[in-house]
Amino acid sequence: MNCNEAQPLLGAYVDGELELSSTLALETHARACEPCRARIDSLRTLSHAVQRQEHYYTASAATKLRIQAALRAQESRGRLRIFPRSTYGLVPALAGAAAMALFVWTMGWRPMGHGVATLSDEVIADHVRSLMANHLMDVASTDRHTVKPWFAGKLDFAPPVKDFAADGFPLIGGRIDYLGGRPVAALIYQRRAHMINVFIMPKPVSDGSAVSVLQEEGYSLYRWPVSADLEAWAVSDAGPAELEQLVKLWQRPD
Amino acid sequence: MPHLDAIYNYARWLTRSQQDADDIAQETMLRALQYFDSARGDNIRAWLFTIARNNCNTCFKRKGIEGPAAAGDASLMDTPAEGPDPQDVLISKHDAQAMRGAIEKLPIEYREVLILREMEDLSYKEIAAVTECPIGTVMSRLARARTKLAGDLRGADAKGEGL
Repeated sequence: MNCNEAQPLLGAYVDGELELSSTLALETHARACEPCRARIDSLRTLSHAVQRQEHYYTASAATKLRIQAALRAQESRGRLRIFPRSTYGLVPALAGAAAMALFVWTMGWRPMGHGVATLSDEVIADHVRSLMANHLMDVASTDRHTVKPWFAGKLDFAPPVKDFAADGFPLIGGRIDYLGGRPVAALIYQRRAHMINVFIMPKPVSDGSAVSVLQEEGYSLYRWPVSADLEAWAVSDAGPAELEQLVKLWQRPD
Repeated sequence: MPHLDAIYNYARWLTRSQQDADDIAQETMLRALQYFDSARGDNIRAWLFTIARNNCNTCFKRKGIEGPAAAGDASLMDTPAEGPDPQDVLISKHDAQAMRGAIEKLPIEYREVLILREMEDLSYKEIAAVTECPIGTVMSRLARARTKLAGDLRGADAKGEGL
């Protein structure tokens, strides 16, 4: 590969959208080509500059309230048919924002069982509540040496705490939450405009050790073992690929 | 309401108006609630952006403004996809306002793909679905958006140093 061939691929490369063979060819070329390396660097710099949180517009509180009121009004006019939660058919189709909006409003509801399906509901509910109720963090710190001791004495297990700021997933704080009827550790990571909650809790005895992935209500969930007796759940509305990246970082040996 | 901020951010950048973004976000959420049983596939985010995009286009039409052009519009081709190297652009020197201004000045078709990619983390495939363009068009618009953005920022930089 030469520069002329490399140049049209640089954007897709930086976006992680280039297929494997081209990626390898491009990386081989870039190792030997200083100008192409510089182009890749500046594309990354430009991307990061655009992605800065301060450029992200969010609806004002007044707008959000107005929209919630409008949604409620529409709902009460009976234009919405409420589908039963079912295990067949178009489950993803039910996972609309509307369903989620209803879900958020009825957040007082708690599933009684503690199986995987209901636990994943609880994980999403906890994630949404942490963002909605202004209760994202009990301890706001980017320093894992502050966050880890903070959990001591509040939990009957010692959750591992990791920061991946260097890899684009900075730890921004921790929180005690309740899942499956017990207190668990919640670690909060920021990924661009998205918040990711990672819940650490004792592993159910009967469970396998494979990583499992779920997508529900427009949220991605990952579940994986972090030690012999602890497991982690990651949840976010960031894309599944982003979440997978964080899970891989977690699984990387220290 | 998950995804509301994403819809709002997209509409705000596309229309460059807070009031229009407010209205479009509301209209989008209402339509999503009304039609969510007809949503197909599991990509709710892309589906919501598609609804928001239609609402933006309705808003543009009402105001007599051109919305984003369809794929293959030749008037967009005057920006080279691989133009001046952005390598000497020192982004860190730019304050948020300069960056915002430069993004707002991009043609709407470029601005749209840039926002969907950089701020909303959509894949090329998802952007292609939302904007109803082939992936090749998405890639070339994104490349041109970045080249133009880098060029504009460098221009702003040069002006700043001249003062």
